[in-house]
Amino acid sequence: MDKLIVIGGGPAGLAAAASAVDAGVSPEDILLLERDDSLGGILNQCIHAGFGLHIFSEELTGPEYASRYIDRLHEREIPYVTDAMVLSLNADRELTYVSPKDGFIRLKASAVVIATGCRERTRGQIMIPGTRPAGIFTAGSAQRFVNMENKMPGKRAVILGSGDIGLIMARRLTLEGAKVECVAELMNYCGGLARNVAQCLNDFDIPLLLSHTVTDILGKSRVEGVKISQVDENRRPIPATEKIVPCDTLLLSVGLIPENELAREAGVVIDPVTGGAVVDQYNQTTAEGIFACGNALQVHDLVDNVTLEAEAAGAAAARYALSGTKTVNYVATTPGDNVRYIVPHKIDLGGSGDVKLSFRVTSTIRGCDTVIKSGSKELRRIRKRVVTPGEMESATVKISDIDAPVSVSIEERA
Amino acid sequence: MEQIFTCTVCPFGCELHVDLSGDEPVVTGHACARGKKYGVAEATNPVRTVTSTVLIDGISELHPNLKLLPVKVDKPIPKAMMFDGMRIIKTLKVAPPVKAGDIVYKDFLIPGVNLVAGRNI
Ligand SMILES: Cc1cc2nc3c(=O)[nH]c(=O)nc-3n(C[C@H](O)[C@H](O)[C@H](O)COP(=O)(O)OP(=O)(O)OC[C@H]3O[C@@H](n4cnc5c(N)ncnc54)[C@H](O)[C@@H]3O)c2cc1C
Ligand code: SF4
Repeated sequence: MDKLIVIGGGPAGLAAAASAVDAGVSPEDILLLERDDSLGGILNQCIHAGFGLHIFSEELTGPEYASRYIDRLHEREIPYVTDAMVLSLNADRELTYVSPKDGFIRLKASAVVIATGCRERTRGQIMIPGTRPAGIFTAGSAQRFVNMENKMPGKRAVILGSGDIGLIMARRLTLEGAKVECVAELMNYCGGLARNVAQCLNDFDIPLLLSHTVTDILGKSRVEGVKISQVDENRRPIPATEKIVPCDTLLLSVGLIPENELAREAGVVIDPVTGGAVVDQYNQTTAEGIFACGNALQVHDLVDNVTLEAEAAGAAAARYALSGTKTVNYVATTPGDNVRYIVPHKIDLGGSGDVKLSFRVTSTIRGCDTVIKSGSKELRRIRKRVVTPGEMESATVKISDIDAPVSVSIEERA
Repeated sequence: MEQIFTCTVCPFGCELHVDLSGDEPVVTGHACARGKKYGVAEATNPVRTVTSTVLIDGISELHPNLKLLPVKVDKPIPKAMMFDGMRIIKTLKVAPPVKAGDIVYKDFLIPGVNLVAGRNI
């Protein structure tokens, strides 16, 4: 049998591989490929506690959470190669990778799970004007420097963007002796979790400036300061509010983009909103036998959700590898009022059981209902106290209840 | 006097109002019992799980390129002691091999609280 290949050894890839074995694929028919020198993915640099509250009911650090799933890989004796970079993938599931150990390898896979994670948006993608001095980092690369390589990015920092990585780094830099002047966020809400605002900013009196952005970067060879302005409701800077904040470092925490070069190459259709593949409830992409999960599919805030999604993808990839394709009868899912996207994008009505719909809302709404419909028939109405764009929502529906396209909307309660 | 906190026990993030003026703390704004407990703790004795890194003294066979070992306190410590903790952590070095869960520093600031390794090296 051709191998079931998992691309990426972060929490998504680890869970997918273990779950494929549990679904009946023998370990020697699986191969996990990871480009870094060790397994664990982004979790290796996330040394803060806060992982696994849902699955393990305890607060683990990133490396601890990763090691639980690395253990599962070892227990099942699943083969993997580190330092192995997958270079290409096509719709026939042929892929190539290089590694110092194996050289250049070409393989045909019985099924593929794409678990390549995401990367950070950079300065270029958000177009900040100004000079190009040293001292500008994405928050995630700063995190890697500080937590794995023992290098401090600077002494006095401004953080642009209130994503979780930026908030976590505000605390980390402060504990390591740097001064964090402020976190500036363009939107009028925080991008990160409420707990991170409380424990990473409020604990250290670091101001969170909502509806503010960096309008200029000062300094020739090294950052000497940034100009920060308040923005109006159209997110345009208000010139009269501009002020200069002296600093030697600017961290960008302005969003993550699913890593999908391989999926694109294989002809997989990408959702322009999530940046991840279009998938059905088994996390199968539009290319048969190619599955996607974790941050490569949609950017997650909680690793627990990554694990659950990846376990489903791994089990589905195993079923595909063992028994091939079935005829499908898809209905689409469409975001309704106040909903930005839904994953999965389509539901195979030939399946059974429940489908979990993950989605994000467009703005913070207090006192509302999540309403799920199939055609015009209301399937579920779930009362919510509050929904926020920073936190992923989910709800399950029974496949047997569905007979027409499914929509999810958020309705404010009068 | 009323203090306001965001509950961080679950992602819900309720806004808790805690009044300490009476004999017993009075919490409002919580949606569940865990939040009430958290509110009282935040107002009377806030604690945090401090995590950081210590220098690896030598070369880990498992991870030859890794320079730092992640560490955490095995029980939360008072929030006000976080920087005292960081001062100790900065002076530490560990020689591999170390297993996740091994004690790196015993009785860390408080008897019974240990600083433990977060990863095998
Ligand atoms: C800074 C930060 C803080 C976070 N904090 C929390 C938190 O407190 N609590 C929580 O629950 N969640 C948190 N999360 C979220 C959670 O950790 C992530 O969502 C999760 O780690 C994503 O897992 P993944 O496997 O999809 O991606 P990753 O962990 O990024 O793994 C992807 C892997 O694929 C590999 N790869 C990519 N391309 C290739 C290729 N071509 N060939 C081979 N390998 C490849 C990469 O090297 C990487 O190891 C945080 C995330 C970040 C970034
Ligand atoms: S009070 Fe309860 S529901 Fe509200 S945030 Fe705290 S734990 Fe969550």
